[in-house]
Amino acid sequence: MKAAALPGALAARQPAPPAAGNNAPVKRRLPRVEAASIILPLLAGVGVLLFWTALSQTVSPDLPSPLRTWQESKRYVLNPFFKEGEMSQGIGRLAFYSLMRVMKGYSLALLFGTPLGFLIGLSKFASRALDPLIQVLRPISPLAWLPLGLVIFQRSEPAALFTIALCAMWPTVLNTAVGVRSISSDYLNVGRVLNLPRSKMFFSIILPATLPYVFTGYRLSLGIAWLVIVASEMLTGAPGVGGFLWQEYNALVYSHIILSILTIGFVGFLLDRLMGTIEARFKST
Amino acid sequence: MNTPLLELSQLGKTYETPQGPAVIVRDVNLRVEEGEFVCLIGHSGCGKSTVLSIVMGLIEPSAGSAILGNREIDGPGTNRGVVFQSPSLFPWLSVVQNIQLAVDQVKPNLSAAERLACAKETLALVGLADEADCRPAELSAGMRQRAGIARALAVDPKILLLDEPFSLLDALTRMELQDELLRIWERHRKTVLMVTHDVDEALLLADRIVMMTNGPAATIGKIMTVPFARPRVRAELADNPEYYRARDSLIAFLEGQGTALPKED
Repeated sequence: MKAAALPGALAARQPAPPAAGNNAPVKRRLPRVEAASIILPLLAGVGVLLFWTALSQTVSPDLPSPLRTWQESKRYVLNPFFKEGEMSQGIGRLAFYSLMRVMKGYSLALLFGTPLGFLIGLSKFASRALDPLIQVLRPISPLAWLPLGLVIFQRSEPAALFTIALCAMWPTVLNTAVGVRSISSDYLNVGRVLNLPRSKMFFSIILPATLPYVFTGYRLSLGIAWLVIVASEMLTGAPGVGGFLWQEYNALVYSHIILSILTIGFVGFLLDRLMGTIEARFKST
Repeated sequence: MNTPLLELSQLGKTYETPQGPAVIVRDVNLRVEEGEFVCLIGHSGCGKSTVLSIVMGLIEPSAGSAILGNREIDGPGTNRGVVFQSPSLFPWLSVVQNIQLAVDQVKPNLSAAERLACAKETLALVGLADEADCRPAELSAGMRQRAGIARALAVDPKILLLDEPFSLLDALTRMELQDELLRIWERHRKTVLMVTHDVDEALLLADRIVMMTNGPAATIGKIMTVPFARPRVRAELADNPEYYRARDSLIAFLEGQGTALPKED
């Protein structure tokens, strides 16, 4: 469950150690390794561009080539925050709308998920009652929750937040519960022999001991929240990257679909990096 | 005869299992006098830690009674200072904050500054004055266990309970900490009940050595009064022919218990 991070992101963070050569001094080898970690992804990127170009020239004439995509999108990228109306806004502004919506839904997920995780971790009773339910709710796609949200709330915005919160909270719930359960019994015994009152036991021992797990949950939850936002915007037509993607598909501006996809990937990557940094800070203490 | 500080009478612990009751220890009778240093020794899994856990208040006995200072033990409490096998310091707190957690618990009426001073004083006692603001991860294993001892002393307990406190340390550090514990004990003469499986450790530290028979259904086999005068010095003990006689007798008892496969505690 914890290893569900982007493998690409992990690999990029830890460049391969230089091969141990006995006669070559380490100093000369290091720059070569760093160059490889830049050149190799560049080569892979060029490969994808070539494949994409070939695809657009041959089997799929509707697919805009990389060059055309750039020409039709550069206005949105070079001036990312312009606004000419509801239908025409810079990609940065659209991403900002999506991020704001994600943050609201994500906050709800943490607000409900964290206490639920502690409850399940601390109480055998709650764990027995809720574990099977969670196993059933967890694999439900956001596309299935959204219509239910619309039925319940009658409006698209709260329905989107409901969907994000409901889909994104599970990693937080499960990691928190696992964290509580894996607290060393030595730590708990120290608290017991000191006769710590229940509240102090929780805030001085259980909470800090669980925090690294909680933040792993928070990072995974944010990844899911960002996945869900696109689906929910596509269905509700709310302004944002996902809404823009669907609108441009309907307007037959296919290059903007690719622009949206790249933006979604890039923002998701940044979010994961951000949370990874915060998480590492909590793990080191 | 005056009343002992700690009195275990007919103490036993039995767990109900699907295969029927499993008797861990039975009929443990032991009186520990004020200021006495008593070591419990035996093979791994013989239930010596179970006896100690009952005194800690972490396990309820299923038979007999454990009386500490005229009161039946009915749960953990700060009149006992506990050192576990692993130092179990909280890594998110500094060393002094770890000690302060214990001080806060027993001296809630003092101001924060006084409690901090008290924690620092206890750290100085175990030679960690300069490491007060370090994180536990920055300390060596020996230093961490010193801090563990400081945390146990910080509650100013009637009795110190040590559960194989040096068994995870390397030989040199272990000797260093044994000497340190001896030095601290000579100064305060606090009552100590310590579980160990190290014969030399028991001979160096204890007034009496309680030998446990092998489990299941372990009990006290023999009690040896250690004849060496205090204060003790490791090097002098090594020159004493009596030391080897005592050592041989302890080992003979433990070997007489057979070399049955040790079970986990």
